Formats: sequence, structure tokens, C-alpha cells
Amino acid sequence: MKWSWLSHRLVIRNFRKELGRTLLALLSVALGVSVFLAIRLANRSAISSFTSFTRGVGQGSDYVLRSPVGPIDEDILAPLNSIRSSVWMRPVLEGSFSLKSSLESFQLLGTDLVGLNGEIEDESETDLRSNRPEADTGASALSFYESLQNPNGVLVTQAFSDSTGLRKGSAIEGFIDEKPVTLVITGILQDQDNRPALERNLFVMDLPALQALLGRPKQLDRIDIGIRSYVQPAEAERLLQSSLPKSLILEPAEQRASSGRTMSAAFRFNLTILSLIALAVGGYLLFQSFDSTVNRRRDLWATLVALGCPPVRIQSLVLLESLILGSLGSFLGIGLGWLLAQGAVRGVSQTLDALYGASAARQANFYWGEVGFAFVLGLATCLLAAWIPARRASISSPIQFLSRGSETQPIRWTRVFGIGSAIFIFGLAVAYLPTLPPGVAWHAYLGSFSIILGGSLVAVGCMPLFGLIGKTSQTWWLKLSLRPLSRPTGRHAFAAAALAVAIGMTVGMGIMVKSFEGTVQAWIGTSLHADLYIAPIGAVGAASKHRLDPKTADAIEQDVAVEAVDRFQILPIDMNGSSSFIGAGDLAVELSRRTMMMVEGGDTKAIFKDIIERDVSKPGAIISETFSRRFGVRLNQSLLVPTPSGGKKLEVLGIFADYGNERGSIIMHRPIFVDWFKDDRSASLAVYLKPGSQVDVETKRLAGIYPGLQVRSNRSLRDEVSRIFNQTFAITYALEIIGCIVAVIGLVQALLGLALKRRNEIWSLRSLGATERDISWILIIEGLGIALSGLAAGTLLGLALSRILVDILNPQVFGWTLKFVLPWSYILMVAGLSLVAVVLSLIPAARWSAQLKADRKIEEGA
Amino acid sequence: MPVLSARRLGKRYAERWVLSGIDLDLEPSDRLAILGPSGCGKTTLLNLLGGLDRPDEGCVMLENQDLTNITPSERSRIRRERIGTIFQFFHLIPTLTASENIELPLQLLGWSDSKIQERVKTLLASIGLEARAHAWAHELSGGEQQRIAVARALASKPAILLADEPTGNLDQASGLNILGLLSKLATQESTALVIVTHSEVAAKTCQKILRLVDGKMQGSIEVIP
Repeated sequence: MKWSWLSHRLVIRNFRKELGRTLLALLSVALGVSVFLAIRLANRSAISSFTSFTRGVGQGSDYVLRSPVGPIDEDILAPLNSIRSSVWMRPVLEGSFSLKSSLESFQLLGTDLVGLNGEIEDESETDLRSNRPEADTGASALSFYESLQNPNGVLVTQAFSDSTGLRKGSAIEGFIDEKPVTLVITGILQDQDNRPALERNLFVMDLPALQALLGRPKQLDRIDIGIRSYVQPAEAERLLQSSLPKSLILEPAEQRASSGRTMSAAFRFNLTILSLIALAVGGYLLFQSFDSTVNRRRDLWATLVALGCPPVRIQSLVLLESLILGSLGSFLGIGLGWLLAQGAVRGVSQTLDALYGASAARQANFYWGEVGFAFVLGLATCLLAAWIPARRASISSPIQFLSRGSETQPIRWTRVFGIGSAIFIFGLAVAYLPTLPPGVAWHAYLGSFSIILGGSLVAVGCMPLFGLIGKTSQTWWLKLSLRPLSRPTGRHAFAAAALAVAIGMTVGMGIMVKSFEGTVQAWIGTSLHADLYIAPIGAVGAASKHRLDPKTADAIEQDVAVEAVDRFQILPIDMNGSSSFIGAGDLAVELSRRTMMMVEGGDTKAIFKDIIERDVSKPGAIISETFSRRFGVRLNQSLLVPTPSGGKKLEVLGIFADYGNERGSIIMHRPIFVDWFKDDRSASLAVYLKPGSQVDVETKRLAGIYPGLQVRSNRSLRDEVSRIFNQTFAITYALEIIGCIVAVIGLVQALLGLALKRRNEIWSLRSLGATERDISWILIIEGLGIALSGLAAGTLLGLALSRILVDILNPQVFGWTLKFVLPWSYILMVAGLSLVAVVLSLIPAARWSAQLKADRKIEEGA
Repeated sequence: MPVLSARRLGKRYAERWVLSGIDLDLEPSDRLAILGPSGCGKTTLLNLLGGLDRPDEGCVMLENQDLTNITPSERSRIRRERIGTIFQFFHLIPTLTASENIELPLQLLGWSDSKIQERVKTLLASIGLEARAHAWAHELSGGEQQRIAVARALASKPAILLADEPTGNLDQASGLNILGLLSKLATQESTALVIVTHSEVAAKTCQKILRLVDGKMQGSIEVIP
């Protein structure tokens, strides 16, 4: 048996013959793959940028030495000279720089550039050494070190130089913390062929110069450590453990690099799951497409069976078709996905920046691993979608088809409905099971999947309700349009199911987002009471390194228009190996002026009063809800906090809601904070103006006096929070829309298939005098019946899914309790828009179908 | 020795026996018509004889091989090699030309290209459609399609040829032509022929008639002189 002969004539030719259907199937695959790939590439590019920021120029180190909180005193380096024969050490200080022109953020990395040259024995051990600055023509290596003597000299990356056109000697104006600074480019770090390109938003300086600019003399943020090539790693580690101060944390470099990935894993996982919507809906449609293809060509399969073609050969013909569609569609999807990723990367990157710190990816890179994965996923979806139809084709009983011609058998909808309902209820039940240790809510994910699957099957059972209307109606066109729904076929079922999945995900995610929005708005309303909020320019989010000079804060506090200032300080902290934050505010200032959204602990004022009046030997603090969940700390428990002078206890007096960061935070009284951490630099100021002051006027005035600060009114900050919030979910909305589009395409595809099946009936109606308009309406109403079934089941699915998202997954993944909100206007809007989209799509399809002639040979190609 | 035998053949759907007590023997050159009104079980009988379905009682022997107790893949092989089938609705493959439709069973059998081309040429000449060899199935008239279907059924030189209402979708003249062609080619290829029909006229083109009423044989097989 010649496989090539069969496959060419029975598969390839069929693509050409049914070009429209082929293109629709390709589009389904391509859309699903492209959306999935776009999100994966955007995630990867953003986190790659984030990881680069986390590591800076330090890919060559084996370990990182850091303090659990606060800086490291560089005096610890001297005693470590004894181990330098075994390890090299590179001290690092990190800061932030904001461009004056655009306020774009850059990471400043200070390291011992001079000492570096003598320390590193092998060029491959550090990017910095191998990323040598370009030499001016005729300049020697010596001129590189001479130029470092410029206290404002920076090395910039090739990416920055290429994008801005700035070269060695160019000036860059901007702000470090709030101080205006002009940096000078003293060299350009060249990218190396065998290493990833250095990030655009990275400047490197000599350590003392950065310490001076930041006002942090003798301070380091970390020490990168590398093992010399002739030393055994185990021996080096033993040496390090015995020589290094016990108060510092020594961790493998990769662990630190992965911390960025871990921190944002929840957010990126969310996006990846959402990106699967399009693929999942596309998968349903592919199943429908292959199923209808097999059904439509049942006489072919039956003839082949009758002619003695082995069943496995028939099955492989269907699978070959899916393999070709899957490959071409995935290939198309990859190109489209890469383009979509360019738009998505900014959104993901900006959100990561806002939530976790600097991530300034501007374009999505091409990762072959992700591309390969997306390709395989698209192909696998196609093969999976075709598997059952292929099997059915191979065991086609020729008997009923060959004597009476092809008939589409209705499905046993009661059975499908029953199974769907059972799966749906199972999903609800399992989702609300208690979360088992170690704390991953797999039951909630299983429950969500079950609800989606069950809901899509329930959609099938909704159609006979419309069929009943058709059966009982006296109107002839209602009878003709809705009666087929009383015995729905596979084609009806898949279209309704796909729509239910898309609508369900949209409604579910939408309710979660609205609940989130409502909760955040309430939180903002409770939390933001000051007239003005002041922070260094470029400061975004809790992870920002920008700080205010205490003298600047003093000056603002003494301003004529200012009544009181709450100085907010914050430091990253290591708690049991995970990163979090410890912060402080002037609670005495806030005592009479604001409240917080307390989850536990009672009245804000009472808690603040308790904290302020407590004996300093027994200090108290409040923790965020996320902190409480992440670290298992409850109200009235004692918390051991690492400080530069050792662990100190804090009593938890309240748990507050904080939707600003997902790492969690501790808030204590500022005087004690300053005493413990010897740091009085504020991250931001909440300013209360004297009565009678005009907010807008004072905003402008203060911004003029302090050009290095961003001065925002309460209104402006609320708007900014809302903007970040909307931006965070922009991609979510986009993905939902794409999912719905794919589902509507599927509905149109189903209607066209159903119309082709009814062409003889259509021809009979026309011969009896029905107009094309009459017939169009019959088909449109049938399509609407399918759509409404999908919509009804999808809404139910969405409501159930939203409860799981709000009640279980959000607290589990982000540590945030949300107040469930049922946005009926949003649900009605989704339903309305979907119906409009359905009708608009069905009209041309119905009009084309109404012109079908009984002779199928002519129209089969559409 | 009979090429096809059936003994006490019966088929049941749910609790109802649609066919029972069928006995027949077919010699290599026999032409048998199974005659009866609509719903009497003619097609069911044909499907049992052709191995497309399994009986609930009795057995079918094709060239001494019991079709009822073999695996589906074995049955598939036998259909491929020893049985030719013609359908009322032709069931030509739409993505194949006329000659390719005839070629299909030979491709399934793995014949060489040269043998296939020779066989197809011979059959096209036999049915008088050499000029339409490259026409697509949908470009052929009903009568032409059925002639192609006849050629396809005979391509593999089967032991028996089964035709289910071969003229049911044709006008009378075309129908008679097809019946004549079937008879001629079956004799030429030494293939036993079984035709299912409800038409007395069509049945009388065969040498034997088996009359079916309500799934049972009416008397014994009638031999037409």
C-alpha cells in the first residue's frame, strides 16, 4: 500500500478542496499558539531583564554574601584577606538613577573596578572583565583607569549606547535619589558573543564614587564571591562558612538570581494560565473541526472500510491531516506570537517593575526553547483534538452510511449534561477542600479545571431548552430554526462548549478583577489620607532603592504650608530565606489622621497608640496579610527580626491589608526602626498641609523647590494606583477578548457546517417560496440558540470560577483577601457584546448559507 | 465448490430478528439477485455476505473461510482481496479522478505502478470511459459514476461482487446499461455476482433469484432458465 499516494490524494487534495475550512482551522491553531507564545516570550524577556538587574554584572560568581537586612559594612573585607588565595571577592553597592528627560529608571552598580583587575584570574569568570570597555583609537588600558577617577564616571552597556547614540565622554543628566546629578560616560561595556547581552538600563561605577553619590560611605549591598579554579568547591565552601561573619547570609549565586523568578512566579503563572485560554478554546474548536471533518467525510471512511483499507491506515490519514494543520498553524502562530510579544512585553515588564522592582525590557527576545515548546503544544493540541475523531473514522461502520448516505447522528445530550453536571459539582466540592501542606492549592486548580470542563458539557444540555421552544412554537421559522436544537449534534455541542469556556473564563476573571478593583479602591480610600505624597523621582513600588536625604525631609517638614509629615522608611529583609520588607512610619503623626484596612487586630488608632506607648524593650508592629500568610505569623505572636545588631523581637499587634506588594511587610514605629537599623533615609513622605492650603498650588510650589522629587496630590496618587492596577490587568483583558474571538469563530464554523448539512432542506424551502432573508434568519436564530446556551452555561461557569479565584486562589497565590463583588453590569456587558459579536458574525455566514443549492458538489469547497 | 455459502444466517436488532434462516450457495460463475420489498432485509443480507457485518446466528463461508469467526483486520484483508462492492449512491472519492478511483483498491493492495496502470486501462476500456479517465468524480454523470464504481469493484479481481441496488439512483435506461455491464464483466472476470434489488426487471437479468419477505427466504432459490 502506497502511503504517499493515499495521503496526497485523500489529505492534501482535500485541503485545497475545502480551502475555507482549512484556513479556519489554521487560524484557530495559529491564534492559540500565538497568544500562548506571546505571553511566554514577554514573561521570559521581562524576567530575564529582572534577573539581570538582580545579578547585575555578576554572572561569574559562585556565591553571594549579603545581610539579612540593611547594608554590609565594608570593614568586613579586610579580615577576609586570608582566604583570597582560595576565593576572589567583589564588593557591590546598588543604587538607582532616573533620567532627567524621561524619568526612565536605571540600575547603578558600584563595584571595585580597580581591584577587580588583580583579583580575577580568568577572563571568563566575570562579565565585567570580559566585557571590556571599548578602547578609543590609540588609547591604552591605562586611560581606562585614569578616566575612572572621574567621581561621576559610569560605564554604560552597548545596548544603551546603541539606543541613545551616546558615546564615551557624553553627559547624562538625571537624579540619584532626589539629587540632580550629571554622569559622564567613561566607557562602553562590550557584549560578548558567548554571553547574554547586558541590559540597557545598567550603569556601572567605581564603588567609592557610588558610595559618595548615594551618601552611603563604607556600605555594601552584597559581596560576590568566586572560587578560584584550582580550589575544590567543597573546600572553598568550608573555608567560607568558617571565615565569614555568622550574621551574614551566604547563598549560591544562582539562588539569588532565581529569587527574581520566584518572586514574580505567581504573577507570571497567572498570565501563562490565561494565555492557555486561547489555546484551550482553540483546542475545543479543533476538536470540533476534526470531528466535523470526519463526520462530513464519513462516506469516504466507510467506503475505505468497505474496500478493505486497514483501520490503522484510516486513523493515520486523519492524524496526518491534523499533523499538517498543527505544524502549519503552529508555524504561523509563532510568527504572530513573536509580533504580539513585542506589545505584551511592555505591559508585563511595567507591571513587574511596579510590583517587584526594575525590569525594563523593551522588546521580547526570541527564545528557541519557548518557540519549540509553543510549537509542540500547538501540534499536540491538534493531534489530541483529532485522536478521537480519527479513531471513530477508522471504526466507521459502513452499513448505515453507505446505503442511506451520510447522516449526522445526534448526541445523547442527557448523558452529556449529566456527566457535565457531575464534573461541575465535583469541581466545586474539591476546590473548597482544605489546603494541604506545603500550601499549594492544587485542589483549587483541579476544581477550576473541573468546573470549566463540566460547565462546557452543561452547555450542551441547555440547547434542548431552546429546542423545546421550537417544538411548541406555532411560528414556522421558529420551528425550523430551534427544533434541531432538541436533538443537538456534535457540531452544535462543540460550538456551545467552546463558547461556554471562553465566556466562563472571561466572566470568572472579570469578576475577580472587579472584586480586586473594589477591594483596592476601598483600600486606597482607607489608606491614602495625606494631602501630598513625596518621593524621589523615579521611585516606583516597594522595591525601589530611591531614598530621600533626611535633611530634605526636615526642610519639607519645616515648610510654611506643612502641618505634619509622616516619613515612611522601608528596607528589604530576609525572613527564613524568603525576601520581604520591614518598614516604619511616624505613627504619632498618623494616629489622628488616618486609618488602615485592618484584617485582624481591631481599630487602627488603638493599635497605633499601643505601638507608640509601648516600652521600647517590648516593641510592637503590624504585619501585612501577605506577610502573615507567607510566614505563618498570627496576631499577638512574636516575630524575630534580623537587624545589624542581631535578632530582635516584635509583637504582632495587627494584620493589615496591603495590595501594593506581594512579598509582605512589617510596619513598626520609626524611632525604633532608626535605632535598630541606623538608617533614617525615607522612601517617601506623606505630607499634611495646614488648613486653608491649596493642594494644587502647594504641589507645584514644592515640585519647583525640589526638582529631584515627585510631588503628588492625593488625587493624583489615587489615579496612579488605578492606572497601575488597570495596566496590571490589561493583558488579562486582551487574552480574554482573544479567547472570545476564537470561540465566535468556532460558532461561525459550526453554523456553516450545520447549514451545509441542511442544504437540501434549504433548497426545499426556497423552492417552496421562502426568501433568502427568511432562511438567513432561520440559521441565525439556530446560531443564537447555540450561542445563548453557551452564554448561559458560560456565565454559570464564570460565577463558580470567580468564587474559586477570589476565595481560594488569590489568597493562596498573592496572600490577598478580596471582597467578592458581583458586577452585574460587567456580566451583562460581556453577554451583550458577545451576542452582538455572534450576530454580526452569523449574518454573513447565514446569508452565504441561504444561497446553498441542493447539489453539494458546487458548494463543498467553502 | 461454492465460492460463497451461507448457512442458517440470521441477524437481530434489539429483540427483533430482521433476518433468519438464510441458506445459499454461490458458484464462481453465478449471478444471484436478492429480491424483496423495502425493509425486508436485503441489504442486511448483503452486508453479512460481504463481511461488513457479523451475523447473530449461522455462518458465511467465502472460499472455505468462515467470515464470522475472524478478526476485524482479517475481515478487512478479505474485503480488500476477495470481495468487490458496489453501492447505490456510488460513493466515489471526490478528491480522486475517475481513473484514480479505480486505482484505489490496487493501491490498498500494494500492486506495482505498472500493473496498476495496465489494469486500470483495461477496465476503463471495458466500461467505455477512457476519455473520462481524468475527470473528477463530481464531473461525471450518475451513469458514469456507477460505471466507475463497477470498475473499482472489479479492479482487484475479487471472488465475488456484491451490488446494493446498483440502479437505484439511475434512470431506467442507465440502470439497464449498468446491469448489462455488471453481468458482462462478472462473466468476463469469472466473478460471482450478487445484486440486491426491489425490481423484478432487474432481478430477471440474473440467473438465480432469492426472494426475501420479512427477513425470511420465500421458498428456495429460483433458477431462471
